[in-house]
Amino acid sequence: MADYFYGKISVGGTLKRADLPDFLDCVKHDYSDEEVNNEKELLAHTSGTLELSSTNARHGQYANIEEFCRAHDLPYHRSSEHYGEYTSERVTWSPGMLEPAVTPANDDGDATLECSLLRSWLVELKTFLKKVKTVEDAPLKINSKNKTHAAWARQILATNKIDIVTLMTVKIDEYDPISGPLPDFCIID
Amino acid sequence: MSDLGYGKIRIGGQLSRNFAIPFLTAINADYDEGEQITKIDDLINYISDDCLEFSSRQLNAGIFMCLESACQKYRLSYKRESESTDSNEAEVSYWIPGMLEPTTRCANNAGEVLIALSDIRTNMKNVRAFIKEIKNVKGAPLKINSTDEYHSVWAKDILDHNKIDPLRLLSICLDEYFPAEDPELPAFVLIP
Repeated sequence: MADYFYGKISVGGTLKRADLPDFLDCVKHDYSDEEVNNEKELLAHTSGTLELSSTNARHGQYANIEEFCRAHDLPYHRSSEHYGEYTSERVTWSPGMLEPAVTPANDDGDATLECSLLRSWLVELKTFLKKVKTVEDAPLKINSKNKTHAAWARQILATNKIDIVTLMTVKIDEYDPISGPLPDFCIID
Repeated sequence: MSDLGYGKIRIGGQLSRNFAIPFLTAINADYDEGEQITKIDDLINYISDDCLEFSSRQLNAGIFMCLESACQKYRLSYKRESESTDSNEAEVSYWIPGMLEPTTRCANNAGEVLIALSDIRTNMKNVRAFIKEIKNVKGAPLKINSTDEYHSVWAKDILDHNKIDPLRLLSICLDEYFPAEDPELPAFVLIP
């Protein structure tokens, strides 16, 4: 039997009016807290982005809406609270991504990271900086098979300086690739 | 409403036999995995790697409510890991004598402490702003008596090492949040 618990989804981007009926079907399927039968009722859930949240989301997810969004290039964020064996998670997808990025989260919807993993990143960066002591050393790592090392080298060359806080941010952004706020949700002909 | 879940606690330190009865009462109040523990010497059956260890799936919110309170009362160190329940996130909590309150952190069900990325980003911004403000090692003494949570610790670290190491400053934030190593629990010993 499926478990139903809290999940919240925010959808941005432009929906073609011709696709509205299919989108409404998805909303009706995934969101049962209120009737959402037409454009007006749907837009009542917008405040910039379209926002739906419910304590009765199947597995804390909006499977049909999320699939629709990916098929129609609508970026979305979803956060789900933990429930029983399910852990809290934050999911992000935007056009161009092959798969949604899933990041562990707390119940406040903040992405989380294991302390031990963060410590290992600090050690990794320290080791990297032993080899890349100056900006002139960065090209040595630009073609590194290690994706992060190559990204750090690119960052150093792009800014022409070694800024440790920025390099850590690069690593964190790899882990939690939310690129910024979603665009407003709108429907056009 | 009960919210039963798994919890494991490890306890170390010296317990006087004078407190045996209230300590056993606290154990039995939380630990319901068969027969009650009635003799203090039976505790030896629950020693694992020098510490007392209890685990149960029948704990309210995965917490040893009475036992943790008793540990603090009798100055016994402990570390507890709780898995998530329907209402509560998984957490790790520890207390050692001298602490006013236990340190409790959000964790995953494997007992790994989690930190919110927003907190990490904030700490990184603070480190950068701090370095910008002091400019170099000579600027650190200005912050040594700062009332800011981290500034005085960072300033001290910079002066101790005579250099500004942003990675170490970030590590300090992390250690303050949760120590790099598990708090070392002493062996559990009964004393007359």
